[in-house]
Amino acid sequence: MALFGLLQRQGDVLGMSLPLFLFSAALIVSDTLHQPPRIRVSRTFSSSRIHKDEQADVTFSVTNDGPRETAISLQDDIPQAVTVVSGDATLAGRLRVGQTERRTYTLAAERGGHEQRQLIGAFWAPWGLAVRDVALRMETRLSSLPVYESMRDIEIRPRRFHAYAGAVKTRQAGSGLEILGCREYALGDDVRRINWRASARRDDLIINLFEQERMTDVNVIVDARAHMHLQIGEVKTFDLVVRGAASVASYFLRQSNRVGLMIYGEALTWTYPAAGRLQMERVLHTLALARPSTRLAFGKLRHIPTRLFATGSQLVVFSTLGSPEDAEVPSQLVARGYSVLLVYPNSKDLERSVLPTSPNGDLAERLVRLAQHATLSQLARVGIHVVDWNVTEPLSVAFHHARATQRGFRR
Amino acid sequence: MTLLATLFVLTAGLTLFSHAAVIGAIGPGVLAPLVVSGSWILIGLRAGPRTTAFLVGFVAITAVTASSGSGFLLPAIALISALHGWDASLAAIRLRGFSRSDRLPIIVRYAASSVTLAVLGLGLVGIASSIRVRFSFGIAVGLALGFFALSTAVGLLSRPARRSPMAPPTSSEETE
Repeated sequence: MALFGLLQRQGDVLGMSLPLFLFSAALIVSDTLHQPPRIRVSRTFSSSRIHKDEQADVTFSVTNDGPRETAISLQDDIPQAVTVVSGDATLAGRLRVGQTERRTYTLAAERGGHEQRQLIGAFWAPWGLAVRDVALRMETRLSSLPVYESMRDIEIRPRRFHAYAGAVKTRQAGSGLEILGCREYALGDDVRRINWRASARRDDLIINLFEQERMTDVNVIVDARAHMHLQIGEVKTFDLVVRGAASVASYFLRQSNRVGLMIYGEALTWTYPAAGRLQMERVLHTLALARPSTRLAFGKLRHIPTRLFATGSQLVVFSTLGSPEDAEVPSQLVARGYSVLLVYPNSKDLERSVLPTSPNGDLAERLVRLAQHATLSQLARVGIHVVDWNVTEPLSVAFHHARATQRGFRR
Repeated sequence: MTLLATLFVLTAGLTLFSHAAVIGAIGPGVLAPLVVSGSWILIGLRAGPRTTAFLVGFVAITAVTASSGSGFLLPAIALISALHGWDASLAAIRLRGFSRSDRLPIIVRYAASSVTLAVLGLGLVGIASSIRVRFSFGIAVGLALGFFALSTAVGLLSRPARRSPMAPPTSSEETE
């Protein structure tokens, strides 16, 4: 503007550039005199560990520790998978010296670990137009853990046990609760074990043998390869698998077993087997962070690093066995001495619910179900305990059906 | 704050359009509403820094209009309004998402500062226009160098004033 005025030799135009300089000068002076205020911030949670579908109250407070009043506009860092259900995550206005302002809001979070790193906003000069953008560092973490259901009576038959008493039947005689069989009394046997009815029939002393119950290692393997999972509407089969894995891990930990967890897909996420409540927390946190992955390095199930699992331990595999090559993996694990429980997340009913009905569709569905049935039957024949889990139902129902079917076969 | 920015921008547009209509300048008369409409849309969209392009365009149109020599008051009002409208539109982005009651004290103070500065700017233009200096080559070169030095100084000094420092806070506390 000034240059234009000079070139045109027009005093009025030249004079009109003065407000621009005045504005800039006011801005500079205002900014120079406007010292950054001393602000103290804190954030607290009603609970930093929630389960999915639960909510947490967050309170953040801002205190003016500086020597003069200041004007602020700050908003809390809301991660992508977190939604503010109610309340206000922003704070603006003037803060007097020593004044503390608080805001409380309620969060709902998707499964995962959510970090809130800072409060972002601006400090406003008390007079003038200068604005100073700020990011006040304040890192807190909210964990949204997967929900799990209470399971009952999951039958496993591992080949190796620990020396400590537990709840897994060993098929060996010893101290336990369930009768394994009977034999003739021998010197030194506990007289309290004598089966008097059988002794009367045989005219000889017969004692009851009880089945030993021991602690064992259970390794839960979650197949997190992205192409094994699908999303229909709001339902993600991977979330259901995570929930199932948490339920199974919770069950075995309650039974005093050592439980390990492997997420196979995004990387080799391995939680070393251990027992107790702390291990349950570790498992839940690992599952909370689990995501489906498309990594080619873990494209095939046969790359499961079996050397991480104790020989003869129980493996619980959550997988839909995408290819014929994958379908051979459980058999290979059995051949290496592991006991395998395959939980097959069957999403056919879920898929069927959104597909239009047509003769071709029905035929295709029947063919797919037959192929699945053939695969699972083949696995069952080599000694793999297969649980065909219709993901539209709770996992406990699938285990109940599997148990009932097995008993039917036994009869 | 968006309302304040819009008011400034509308004032700028209307004033320049009125001036163009009075002196019969077709170009500025057509361009001024276009630029103002664009600014208004961008303010509505909270486009932020993109309004700078419109401010530059508006200043150019105002300079051309004022160079016709048919009065300086209306172009000066238009120019100052455009400048403060642009600044208010940027400030409005920083207050986006805050509740009305929270924003109000900041907006009031900002508006007071902004209007005061606008009035001062207008007064300065008035004073400048009353000074009559015969332009010689030496004065023109001196003024050019002076304005160049002033512009450079303003450019250098205003950088930290509007930069987002992302600096660590003076004090913070982590609680969980």
